[in-house]
Amino acid sequence: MARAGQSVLNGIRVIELGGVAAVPFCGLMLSWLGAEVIKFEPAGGDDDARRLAPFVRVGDGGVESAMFAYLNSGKKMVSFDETTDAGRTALADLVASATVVVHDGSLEFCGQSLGPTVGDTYPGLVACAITPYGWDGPHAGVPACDLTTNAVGGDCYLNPAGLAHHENPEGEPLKMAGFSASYTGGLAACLAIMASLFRQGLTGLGDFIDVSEQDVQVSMSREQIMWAVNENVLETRDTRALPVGGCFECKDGYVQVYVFSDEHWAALRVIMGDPVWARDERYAAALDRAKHNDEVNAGIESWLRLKERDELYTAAKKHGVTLAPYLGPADVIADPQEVDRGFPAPFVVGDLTLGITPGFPFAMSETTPVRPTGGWRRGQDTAAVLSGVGVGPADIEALVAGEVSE
Amino acid sequence: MTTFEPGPLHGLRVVDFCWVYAGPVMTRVLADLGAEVIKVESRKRPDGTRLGRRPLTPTVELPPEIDIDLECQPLNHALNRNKRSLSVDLSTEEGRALVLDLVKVSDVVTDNFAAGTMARMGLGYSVLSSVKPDIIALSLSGGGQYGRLRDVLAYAGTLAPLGGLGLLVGDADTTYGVMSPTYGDSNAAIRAAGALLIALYHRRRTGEGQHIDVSEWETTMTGLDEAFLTWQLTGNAPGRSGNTSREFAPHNNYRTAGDDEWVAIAVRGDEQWAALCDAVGLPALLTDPRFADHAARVANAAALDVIVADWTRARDADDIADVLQKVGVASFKVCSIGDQYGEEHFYQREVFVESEHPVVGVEIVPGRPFRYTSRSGVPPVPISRPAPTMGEANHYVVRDLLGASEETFERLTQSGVLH
Repeated sequence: MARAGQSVLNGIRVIELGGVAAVPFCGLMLSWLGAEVIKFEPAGGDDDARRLAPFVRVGDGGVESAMFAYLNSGKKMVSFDETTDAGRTALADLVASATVVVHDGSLEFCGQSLGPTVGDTYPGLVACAITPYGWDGPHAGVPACDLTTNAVGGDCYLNPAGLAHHENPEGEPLKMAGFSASYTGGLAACLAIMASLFRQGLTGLGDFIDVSEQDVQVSMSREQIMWAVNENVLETRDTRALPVGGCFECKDGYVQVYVFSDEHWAALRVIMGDPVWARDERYAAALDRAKHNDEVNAGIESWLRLKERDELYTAAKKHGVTLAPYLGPADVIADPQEVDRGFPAPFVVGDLTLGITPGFPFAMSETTPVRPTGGWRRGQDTAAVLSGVGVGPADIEALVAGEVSE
Repeated sequence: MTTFEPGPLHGLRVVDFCWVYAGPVMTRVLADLGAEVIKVESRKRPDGTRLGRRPLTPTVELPPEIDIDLECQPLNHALNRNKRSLSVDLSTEEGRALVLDLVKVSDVVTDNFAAGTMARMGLGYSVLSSVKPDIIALSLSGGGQYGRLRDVLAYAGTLAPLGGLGLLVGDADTTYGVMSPTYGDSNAAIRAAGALLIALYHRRRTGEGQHIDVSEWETTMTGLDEAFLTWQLTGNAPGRSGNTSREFAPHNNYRTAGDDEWVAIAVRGDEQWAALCDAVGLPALLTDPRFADHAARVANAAALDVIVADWTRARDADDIADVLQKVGVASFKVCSIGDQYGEEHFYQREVFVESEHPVVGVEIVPGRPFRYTSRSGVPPVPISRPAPTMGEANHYVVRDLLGASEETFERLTQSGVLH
């Protein structure tokens, strides 16, 4: 898939002010597109992502968070005390040298200079704030994390549905895995920034973009709102179960089976070898299958238990059955489909070898992503970057006086 | 007359063959950014989201060309508001030629058919780029346009298991959960819209168009970096771990008063822990050795859950969230769609907006996922255009965009090319 392409954001400088997942993930995407991303860690402390597992061994015997190294790969690491007058000036100079700033609103400087009135100070700057509930509105500034974003976003309320819920109807609603809410917010921000850069190229004017992780969750994935509003139908974990199908255990793992239509059912019967129980007239029509779904699911499960995941998947593809194996990282990395498409890629950040991670999820005929390397040590690029915006050597020394040297 | 500040993609035109879910979410984002999105569809094979609901009593007397069976589906309205509709029979040579003429005056072509479908219809990238050399075409499919599994049968529900996400969601002691049915589609949609923006920016810099191949399988996998890294660096493949967390404790959804009502509570660090103990009126927990520091609280999260759940059980979820938010603890009611619908915050921020549909009247539809502050003093363009009725833009496309005569328009309509 890879061909020599161009780094689309070559020459665009991005300042990143914000930790853990949403803001750094947005910065990572921009860095993959060739932007020069400068990550600022404030005097108040490191990015919390530096404490996220898993960890990777460093040459000198220490360890570093592989998650931090991954999320911040390809970026320049800058830190100094931004709370002094000289520090505030240096940060303002840094921002003035950039085309884009992406931030989480947490620094005092962000609230003062990088909000809706950003154009007054920096007319051409694209400033994007990613916050849990948005820049304004009744919940702006309320403490939040991925769990609460999932809770308000509606994913928790509907998760887990199906057999898992029926096995344990008293179980808690569950959040999505990992940082999915933060990443979705970061992606939306990246998209909005690209649109803004597109316009900025024409007009020279920047923007303030207000990305609420919450709004993104709700507006992007809650089309079911339409049922509740217009039909007074409220989905729950209970009602969202597929009548027939779902996740089942097989001989060596798990598979997901979908039986929406009569065609799906007919195809499933074929790969099951059309057992006697499945020929029962009571299961012929979709509505009747739903009525007797416990029996049908039990029949499907007893057959699946004897079969291996890959054998099932091969048969399913051949006969048009909607059945998918549950794959883990090991399977995905080794899958010839993905290796063929150049998707999994080895990741090296400075002197850290992180392993293979998911790559750029598009094959674009003319644009090839940059696979970033760069460093990860706090402040390692401070002097070079500050000197580039005209801060003298003595001032740089004073600004980084309190910094721990790596 | 009120004027509005146009969106960043104002002036761009998208010829949109997308249907069902993921594709229409992607092009809705482009419409929200100001692009003119013309949905190409046909009565012969309507978008599945137009079907499946009994017709409502229309709010107005309908002109004869409106087929009410196709115009009452709220899901369709949510996914396609702010777009136009060209209804054309692509199996006719004239219909196909008309669409190619439209491509000549457009910037982007999108589809989310099975791989190879556009080429079979005579609308593959080579054809599109021969009529408009700098066209940007994006195809979104389950497994991508090439590779061993390009013809995989893809629904959002099978892509989560395939992409490795399925293994991570669920309780350790029950089977895997069927996840949010739309997560895979929405995630793919927002990434694919991003790819289009990248290509538009690339075109602005170089003058080149391109073809973009998006695999929903891959977009599902991207974002699972933590699982990939953990497996390779530790040898342990992460599994379903319910709501447990290494960074927060307590960290769970807790049952409250009310039927199936729950509250999310997440505590990080000693300061928040002290605030929680104070708020729940259990200062003794502060000296309990099981919860002495973060590591101890993570190790004893199950015991902690019992204590917190005991406190939440008879209380109101909103009240709990209010109390905890005020002391700096992340907390919110686990919202059903009904709760979201009643949440004033989302109306103030225009995450939900009213749309006046020509057939069914006023509806609440999703608004935009992010906001741009006006730079000119006039407000940004609101989301005001309802989902299009079938063929709503036929006249506009044929007469205004392609410059054909009224007679031609009539002939194309009578002959069923505009279908």
